[in-house]
Amino acid sequence: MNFIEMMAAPFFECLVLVAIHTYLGIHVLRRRVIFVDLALAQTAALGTTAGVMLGIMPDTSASLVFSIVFTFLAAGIFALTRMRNDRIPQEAVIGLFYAIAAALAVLVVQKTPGAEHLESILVGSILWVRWEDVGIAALAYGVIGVVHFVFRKQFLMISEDPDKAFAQGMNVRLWDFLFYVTFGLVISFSVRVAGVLLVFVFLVAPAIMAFMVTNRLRSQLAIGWAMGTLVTVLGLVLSYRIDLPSGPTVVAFYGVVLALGAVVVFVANAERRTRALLRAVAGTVAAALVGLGVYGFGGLLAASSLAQSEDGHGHAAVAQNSEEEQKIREEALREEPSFDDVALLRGRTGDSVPVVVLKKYLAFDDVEKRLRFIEEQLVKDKTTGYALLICFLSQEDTPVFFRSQALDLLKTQPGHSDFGYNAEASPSENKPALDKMIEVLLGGGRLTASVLNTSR
Amino acid sequence: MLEKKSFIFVIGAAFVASILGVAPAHAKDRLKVVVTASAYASIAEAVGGDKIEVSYIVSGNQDPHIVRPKPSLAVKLSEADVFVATGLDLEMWAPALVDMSNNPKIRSGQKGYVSASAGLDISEVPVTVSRAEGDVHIFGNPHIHTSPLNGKIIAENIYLGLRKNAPEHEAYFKANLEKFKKEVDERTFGKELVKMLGGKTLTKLARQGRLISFLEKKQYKGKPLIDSLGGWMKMAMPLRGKEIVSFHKNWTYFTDLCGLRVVDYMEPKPGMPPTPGHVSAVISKMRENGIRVMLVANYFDMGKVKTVARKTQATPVMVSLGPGGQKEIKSFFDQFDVWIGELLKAFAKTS
Repeated sequence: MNFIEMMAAPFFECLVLVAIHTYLGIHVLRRRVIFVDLALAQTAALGTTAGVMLGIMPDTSASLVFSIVFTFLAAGIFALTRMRNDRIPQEAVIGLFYAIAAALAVLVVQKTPGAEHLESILVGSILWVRWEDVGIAALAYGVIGVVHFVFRKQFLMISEDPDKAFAQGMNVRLWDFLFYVTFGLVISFSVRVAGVLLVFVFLVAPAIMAFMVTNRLRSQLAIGWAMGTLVTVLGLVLSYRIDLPSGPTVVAFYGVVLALGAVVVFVANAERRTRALLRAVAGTVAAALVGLGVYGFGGLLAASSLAQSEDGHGHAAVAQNSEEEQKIREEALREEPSFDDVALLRGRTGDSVPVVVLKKYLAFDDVEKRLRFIEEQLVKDKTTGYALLICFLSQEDTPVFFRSQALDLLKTQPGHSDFGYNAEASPSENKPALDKMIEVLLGGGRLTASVLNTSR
Repeated sequence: MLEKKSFIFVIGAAFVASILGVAPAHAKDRLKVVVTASAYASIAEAVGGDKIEVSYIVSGNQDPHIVRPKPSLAVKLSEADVFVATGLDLEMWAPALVDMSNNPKIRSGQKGYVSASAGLDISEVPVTVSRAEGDVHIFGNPHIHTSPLNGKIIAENIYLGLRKNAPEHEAYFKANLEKFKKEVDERTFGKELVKMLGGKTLTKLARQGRLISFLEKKQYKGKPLIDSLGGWMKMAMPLRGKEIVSFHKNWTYFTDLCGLRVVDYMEPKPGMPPTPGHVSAVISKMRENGIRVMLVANYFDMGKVKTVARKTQATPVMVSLGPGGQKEIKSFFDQFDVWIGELLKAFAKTS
């Protein structure tokens, strides 16, 4: 899968986002309510999260509608709080609104298992945008763009000079509300895809670039759109090339471009360019030195924090289960061949098996291994082998299949008989057969190996 | 003016008092067991029965790697007699929480602490340890509850922990443990096969990956043993050798048991968010190999999975990683029914 196929939908989504957000960003900068976007975006996210709590699946149109309702409520609050109380700036209210909405979203997530990934609302998932999302966004933004174009005079007036608009008898509060409603609509759509951070950057960064160069609205729009598109495309390519998450890469790249742009504009606007250029270079070097200093300081701190955690004060104690613990565990769980087991089996087979061998046999936890051990013993010493075989067949926990294998083994021995032992029945049901084996193979348990040999 | 101030003061004081008055109520007679993952809770309930009271911290549809410490969690742990954690480095948040709870007996290595993974064969233990390899688990893959067979060992560990803290109920716990282990065996391999070969042997064969070849080769009464296979292993037979893609290495123990091959993960490295280059490589691989099924824990973002699924015409199986995260999965046993069932449906759909 190539770059074009992977990045085409994100690319167009970015174009659509840049188009509407640059325009709205110019309004926002003029109004000096920078954080209104963050607040609305977070409110939209809160709406989605709260929807999940009520059982509305995220990623559906129902959840979109629900989050739009939330942003409308916020729009109402922002319209009401503008110009009311001069002692408390509106930016403070908006900032506070953002913090509260963010906190509420975290709280709601806590009470809503399954809403975890909504935390990713900050970073967004522009990489994952689907074509129909791009289409829907383009449509919605188009409608809003038309509304703004038709009423451009009113919207500009209330953004630029609300006092004048008020004096002219405009219903500033109503127009403010309308502005925030359209703004909230745009944000509701874009946050779902791009995330709070990227939306904020799309809104503010191209507008700032434009403001650095000119004060005329048309030129601002043109510069904002051009720069926004260029930077976004480069950011996406960069994200693909160095294989980093797209949203944060674009955001960080905007930061770099803005810093470079600021330097360029500073030099361009200066009366004595060479001097300004020298200052810019000096500034860059200073910034680089500060960066290096921070890096070195961080390295020092890292070394000391490592030493601290090695002291055992850190949280390195998540340690793996030590070998010692493993041993303790095994001992605690092991089914020791109890004295009873040994005695019982020895009793049945009438001391035909040396205790050492019997213990060794019982120490095998594995039926297959037990059977193999019996085979070996049969070769070495018939009596011991037969006795173990009888033990094997009289143990309750020997599985059916292995009982039948043991019987097969028995049938290869002289005598060729299974003594009527039924592998599928329990050992107690097989008692007559077992008794017969003991009688014949072990001579009632009292015969020696030589007797057994002659008896065949 | 004074009246207004005192009014505000009274209202404020009443508010403060009402918040302080909210105190949790609890019973004290049963052993209090707190576990990290919901699967451990299900197993602890089976072993501890009515002698214990279990609560878990991470539900099946939550990311077990990340838990934000809440006051209630510290309270829960401060009252716990036994704390069951994976014991590998899955729950990096747990030590801080235990510190916060101020309950010395549940600290790692103390009487009230149970490491669920003790005595397990851990998969994917890294050769070199570096965080650059992602959110790497330096002790190996910690999502141990995704194999029913591991459940038996987890149950043994919980049994040991309970026995230490309530020795008077040892016999009761032991009986429950044996019952649980038998049920795991029978649900995994089927009653008939367990009766023939025994749970221990079957578990050993499955661990070594030679269960199926053993069953196909050996016969009992002229009938291949494979004909007697039942339970989840029988259910999962059509999945053997099939290829899937996953999001995170959540399923290693499960896929190993079922013979499923996880060809790639949407994460470039465990715990790192998918990047454009890696995702496009995964999509290419899925197209080339004709991989049409994705198995993803439902705590991941459904939108992302759907995007990839659409580009590859794959069917995403998004299921809860443990009990409590999906209404069909209420217990440790339910999860295997659902996982295998959903995978079978997805494969049926693609063929």
